[in-house]
Amino acid sequence: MQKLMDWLEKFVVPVAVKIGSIRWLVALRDGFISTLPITMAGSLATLLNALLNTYPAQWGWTGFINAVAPIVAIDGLVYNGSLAIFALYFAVMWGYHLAADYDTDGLSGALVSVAAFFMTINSNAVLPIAKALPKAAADTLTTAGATVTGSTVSVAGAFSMANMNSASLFTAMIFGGIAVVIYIWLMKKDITIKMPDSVPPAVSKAFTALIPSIAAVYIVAIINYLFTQVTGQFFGDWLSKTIQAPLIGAGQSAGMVLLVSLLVQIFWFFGIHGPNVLGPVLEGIWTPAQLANIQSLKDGTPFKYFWTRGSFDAYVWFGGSGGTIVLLLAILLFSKRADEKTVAKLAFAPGLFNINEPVMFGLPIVLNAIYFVPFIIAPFINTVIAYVVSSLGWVAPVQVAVPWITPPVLNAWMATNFDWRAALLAIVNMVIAFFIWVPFVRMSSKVAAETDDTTAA
Amino acid sequence: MIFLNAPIQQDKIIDLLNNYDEDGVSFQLKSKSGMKLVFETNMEDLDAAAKLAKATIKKQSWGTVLYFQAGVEK
Repeated sequence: MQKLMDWLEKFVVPVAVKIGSIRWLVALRDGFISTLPITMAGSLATLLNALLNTYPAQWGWTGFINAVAPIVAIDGLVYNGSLAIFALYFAVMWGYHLAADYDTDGLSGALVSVAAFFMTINSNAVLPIAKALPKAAADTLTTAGATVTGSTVSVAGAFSMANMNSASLFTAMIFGGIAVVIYIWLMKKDITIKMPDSVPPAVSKAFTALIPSIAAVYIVAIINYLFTQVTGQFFGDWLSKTIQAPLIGAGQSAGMVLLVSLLVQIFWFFGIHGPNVLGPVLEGIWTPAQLANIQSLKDGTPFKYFWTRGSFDAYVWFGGSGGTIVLLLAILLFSKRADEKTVAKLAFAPGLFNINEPVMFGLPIVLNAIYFVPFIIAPFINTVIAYVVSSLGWVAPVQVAVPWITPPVLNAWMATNFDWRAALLAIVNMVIAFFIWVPFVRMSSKVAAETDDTTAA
Repeated sequence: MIFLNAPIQQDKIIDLLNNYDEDGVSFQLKSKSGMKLVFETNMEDLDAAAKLAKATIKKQSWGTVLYFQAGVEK
């Protein structure tokens, strides 16, 4: 084990450290995480409306639906103010963290990022119409400033919410990033306006950011202008179609899902914070997929993605990474080691809320050669099963963001908009993981009995 | 005393905390057993000392990706 540790410290840790210390990747991860309150608010509104409106409508509870109509309307407002414009919130947080991580003013970075985002997305609200309008109606709309073509009416200078939701995340990511990098570079080159010391700090800070911000915004504007002139479309529309959609689609491949699941476990085992290192991938690829699914739930359209960020939590990482809640059960039922049973009793309550630090270090699992195999294999097999079942459409895709401390099974049930099959899948996976852990728990007891006095009487 | 369960980068952690000197706070390694490192500290509030040690490590470029536990040694 020591040789393996030395090898890891020499070759793997530096790579993980390198990835974990790339500031723009850290900013990207933190940008996503910072939007959590908004994601949760929008998810709650969507869940509530499913409970109060969607299902009662299917059951024909007209009186009930009428009675709760105001609550449904309020939920609609919450959704419009949160997830419907998620990319905007992300642009703010991404710009803030990127600028702050490079020791420049975070708020200025956020402003520059938002400006870049709005310059890149389509600023025409396009309304599809079923059939061509009569000439008089078309003329009236044209006089009012709209552009009427055969099957669409577009209004210039009106940002559509459809261009501010998760479909525009990569637009926010790429152009917010470009703008803030220019801003940071100019700030670092000290191409700024210096104010005398007598000027209040808030004013001085705003003036300092003036030249870098204007330059960043203009450069992004020029890029967008040239792109639109050459291609006849907005850069944001092009990015959504040619970069974001294929990349998120790649996240639906078995290879990527299984690789990430495997790497997270290996990192944890050796004392490296897996989700921290892989956060940019986890959040950058599977969070937009989940947000797209929430949008589909709200719109009542078919889901686009069967594997999302929450799928790992719902079906694999129950009780924390490694699915350790079932290990605790296995220990309580089969272990003959007093020390392991004591840890399991203490760690069970936090484990129900997916906090497994006590068991990871208390048992321990970290660097414990006996538990290495099940800690890696059980989540991997759980991922395979959940992936196959999800891809076959036997369970509803994970769509709603639920807090990570939500207990296992309940998490899967809520995240899939109360699909009982998802709860069943989580239970099946837990049972399978349980049977993977049991032989190793027994082995641990056997080894302990042969080597020391930790066996319970 | 406080403890840290840190499977990797132990030498860097020991070096960092042994040389910590801010606001009159100091840490000194007392024992090392497997992944467990025990430090003596002059801070009276040991919970705060454990949090400070963890935060100090997390601030390092090599510490951001580490998964370790910090607590009060009983």
